[in-house]
Amino acid sequence: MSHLVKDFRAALYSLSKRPGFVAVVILTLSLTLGAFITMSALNYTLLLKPLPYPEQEKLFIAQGERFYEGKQLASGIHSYAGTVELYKKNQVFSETAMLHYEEQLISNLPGQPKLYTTFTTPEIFSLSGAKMAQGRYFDSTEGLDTYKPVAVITYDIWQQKYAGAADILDKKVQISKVSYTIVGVLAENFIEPLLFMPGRETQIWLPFDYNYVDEEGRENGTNGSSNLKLAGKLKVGMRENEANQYLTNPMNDRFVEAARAFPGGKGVTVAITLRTFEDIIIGDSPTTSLMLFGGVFALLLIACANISNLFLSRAAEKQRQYAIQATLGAQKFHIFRSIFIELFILIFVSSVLALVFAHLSFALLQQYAEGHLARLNELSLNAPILFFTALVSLLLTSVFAAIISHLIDYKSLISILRSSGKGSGLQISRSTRQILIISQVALAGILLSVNFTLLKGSMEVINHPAGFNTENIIRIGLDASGQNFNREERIAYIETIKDKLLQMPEVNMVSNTIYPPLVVNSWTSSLAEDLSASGKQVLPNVNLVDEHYLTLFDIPLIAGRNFKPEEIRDSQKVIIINETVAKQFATSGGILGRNLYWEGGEDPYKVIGIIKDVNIPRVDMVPQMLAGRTTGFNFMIGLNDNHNVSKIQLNSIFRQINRNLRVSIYATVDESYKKLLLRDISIAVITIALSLLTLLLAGLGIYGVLSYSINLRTYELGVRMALGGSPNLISKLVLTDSAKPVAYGWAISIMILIALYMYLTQKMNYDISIEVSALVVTFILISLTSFIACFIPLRKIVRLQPINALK
Amino acid sequence: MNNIKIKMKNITKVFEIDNMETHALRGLDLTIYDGDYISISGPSGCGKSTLLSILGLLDMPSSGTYHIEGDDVSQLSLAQSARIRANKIGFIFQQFNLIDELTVFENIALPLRYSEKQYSESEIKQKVKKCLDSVEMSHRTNHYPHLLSGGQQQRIAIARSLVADPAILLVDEPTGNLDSKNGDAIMDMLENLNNQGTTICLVTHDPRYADRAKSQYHLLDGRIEMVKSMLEAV
Ligand SMILES: Nc1ncnc2c1ncn2[C@@H]1O[C@H](COP(=O)(O)OP(=O)(O)OP(=O)(O)O)[C@@H](O)[C@H]1O
Ligand SMILES: [Mg+2]
Repeated sequence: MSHLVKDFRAALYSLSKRPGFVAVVILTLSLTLGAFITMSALNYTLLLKPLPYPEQEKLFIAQGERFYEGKQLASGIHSYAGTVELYKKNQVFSETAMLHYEEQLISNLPGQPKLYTTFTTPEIFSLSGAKMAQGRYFDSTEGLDTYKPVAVITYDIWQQKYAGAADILDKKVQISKVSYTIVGVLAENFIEPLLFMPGRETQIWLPFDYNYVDEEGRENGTNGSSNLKLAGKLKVGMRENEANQYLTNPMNDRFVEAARAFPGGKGVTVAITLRTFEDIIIGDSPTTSLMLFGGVFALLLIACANISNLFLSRAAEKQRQYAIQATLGAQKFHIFRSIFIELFILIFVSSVLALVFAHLSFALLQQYAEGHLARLNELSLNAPILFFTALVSLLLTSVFAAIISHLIDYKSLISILRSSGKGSGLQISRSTRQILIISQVALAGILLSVNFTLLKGSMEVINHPAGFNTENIIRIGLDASGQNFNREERIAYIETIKDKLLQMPEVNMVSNTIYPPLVVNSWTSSLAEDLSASGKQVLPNVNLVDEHYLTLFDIPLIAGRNFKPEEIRDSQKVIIINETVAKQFATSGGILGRNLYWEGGEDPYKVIGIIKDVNIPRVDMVPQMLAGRTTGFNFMIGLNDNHNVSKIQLNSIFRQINRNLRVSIYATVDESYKKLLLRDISIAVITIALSLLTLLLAGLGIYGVLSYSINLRTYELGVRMALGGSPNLISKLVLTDSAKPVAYGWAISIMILIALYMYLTQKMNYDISIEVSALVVTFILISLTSFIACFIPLRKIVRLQPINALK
Repeated sequence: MNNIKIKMKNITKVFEIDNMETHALRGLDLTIYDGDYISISGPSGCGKSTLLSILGLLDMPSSGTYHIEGDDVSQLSLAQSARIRANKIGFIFQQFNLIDELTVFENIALPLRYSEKQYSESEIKQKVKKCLDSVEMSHRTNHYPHLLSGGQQQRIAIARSLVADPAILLVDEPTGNLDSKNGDAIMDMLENLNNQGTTICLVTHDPRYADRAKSQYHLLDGRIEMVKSMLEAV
């Protein structure tokens, strides 16, 4: 035992003599291992770990889909009345819940924050196995049609908005006119099944009865909303197909019946398909997470190659010492024990740092990737991860140990002392060095090519012009705190608000418009050529705008004209469509000036203008129609250059108009547009960071091997120089020799890339293309890095007087 | 016969390591004539190898002038001195200095490949063969050097030093790593070469071998003095 302690001390001492070596090994290994642990944990959570709900494999969402002549129009859309009926007459679930996802202003909290509220029937809590920190969740007496104003809040809200108040169960949540009593606080570790949208975590749970769908919406049999969900646990013995039938039939009958009332509904059918919670929650996260895993794994391999080389060189350095030990009868193990102990110490320290790094990465992911990757809130440094890390470290230690003892020839050690020592003895063999370079280049080549391909795609999205002006525009929405205005009152208020806004010196234009151009798929409707069942029908996004909309957003008309003020004032039946809609109605003579039927209404709408399509990042061209009319309290405010108006400023103006008016939506259009680019910006940042790291690691690795190889050749190169080899000739010789393994590595990476491409496009049906420019950039970068890695040690030698190289 | 091949004047060489100066050569004058065979001897550490490496342009003198066949070579760039080495100088080292990864043939051919005269492959083949014949090693053309004995390796080194028809042959302790039988054979070979007209400068501390040279020099404290000459100095 004391032996081991002594060896440990000796190893620590000898490491302390080589701080550079220690720093490079620990930095390389802890960073790459940390990234590897992070990605392993993420992929484990996404792909292998069951959802944290009881009998999670039986949990489903009943997802509504709409078809038009067999073609899917939309999915995830449910009619309110139909869903309630399914809930009430449930045949397929042993337990089922309805949820309506909203955002509401909480008026009795300081600052009146807008929070994520979900209106639900009580079953969601037992379905998700909820535990409480305080009080209880909804019980069966608070179910559908009971109208009990109760609320359950999350642990975070309790802490952040109520400062963890002990008397939380006496408090109330005020939303417009209803005051809900808080009956429970969910446990800190409660993980909500995110069924609505990735990253959208409910903050306050309220009874389903109080959802904000109005009377008309609750009765309408054809409307569809994606905010409404029906979830449940499948009955024992019920198969999915069977359940789909049970759910679809009544829903479709009801829909077809209701749709008969208007022409736009003709030919449309609905179906319900069960989708597992897992499917919904995880979404397409694995595509991203597996790609990241692949990248990080390749990085780890590169780092391992680097570290093998560093250790081998270190062993080679000590050859004389080992040789003497060997002649004195030391076994292989005795000789390499010091190296093994050093190895163990370094890997242990790196693993601990890697865990710290992984812990930070979890936080970073939770901060920045929320909404892009699922189940991030389940990531933490838990027992399985610690165990996994220990396993990986152990594996790495044994692999490195095996490599070192395999590659260093014990038998030749003894002969070292006998020979003159020049050019012979303990060395990393030439083939090992070649393999180290080839593998690093191959891995770096693959990694960089994939990275640059992704980067190029993202840069294209980022750099694609929006097709509309995003600058100096603020979007606001006002809330009247539950106060209802009739149409005349509303229009009068809108006019006053516009006037007041225009009086502000910062403001140069105001448009009463629901959505800025970048909001799509919020309101989909139908436009038909005629009222017959066979008429051509298009399903555009709708926006209600006034005559300033096109000017404010600088959207060009390619035909026809803008709305006139009187058309807006009188809600005249005129519309403007975009190019995509115009193309879909590719009738002879063009669509301009023709009549179209909107949402099955009897009165036709005349097309007065066609606008250019705008570009929404990562969204294909969307059909869009603009109807001109005065709408609700939604405004786009055009500002003068270098001016801004704050929410506070606006609130104080609106309060003078009516003391209940409050800004509930406030966003600059530019920022909203940039938010849409966030995914691509993060891809760009990640790929650039990963590329730099790859280049750095591979560069260091290739440098390590080449400088070792070149230094070994010092004597040979000295002989060549003595015989008249000029510095140029010697450089050329060494560069061509070093280029060979680089070229092999490059060739291997190209082959693997092609194989990967074939696999992904042909077997997995991914729509990707090989980016030649990415390959070219990769090739240039790798060649340059290798050249520099070769040139630095080479320069030292060719600058010597030959006699010094011969020593 | 009496053309001047090499003329060194007031050559000094100072090594500086860890702020300690070693004056290996202190103002040395040396003239070598065409066809001469000189030996330089002296105690260990007196600067023999240093002198030889400056003679062979493997190193630069700290001061002084040096001419080879009338050209000033005192201050050359690395590339310029490499060119002169390839064309005018042949080396024979104490440790043979053969390259392990290359065959005997390729080792010998190296100076030709570095020469600015563009030799064709057949010319190279022919020249290498001739040199191998002259050292009686033709049967080993495609072997690798480490398979050969020390004496054989030195013969290959001699063949290599001759292949480019150098103006002068510089030889440093050629017998140091050999037994006396092999050593004598090498010395015979050098004498033969000189008889055929090759100018030779030999460094040795073996008085028996030093005596076989036409002119004998003694190096002491970084200065040289002639002890004996069989040439009529003009
Ligand atoms: N590169 C160098 N750096 C510092 N000092 C050197 C260097 N080369 C030679 N010397 C010193 O110069 C002096 C002359 O060395 P040199 O090798 O020429 O001696 P030598 O006559 O060849 O000796 P030997 O007969 O032992 O080979 C010695 O004192 C040596 O230590
Ligand atoms: Mg010497």
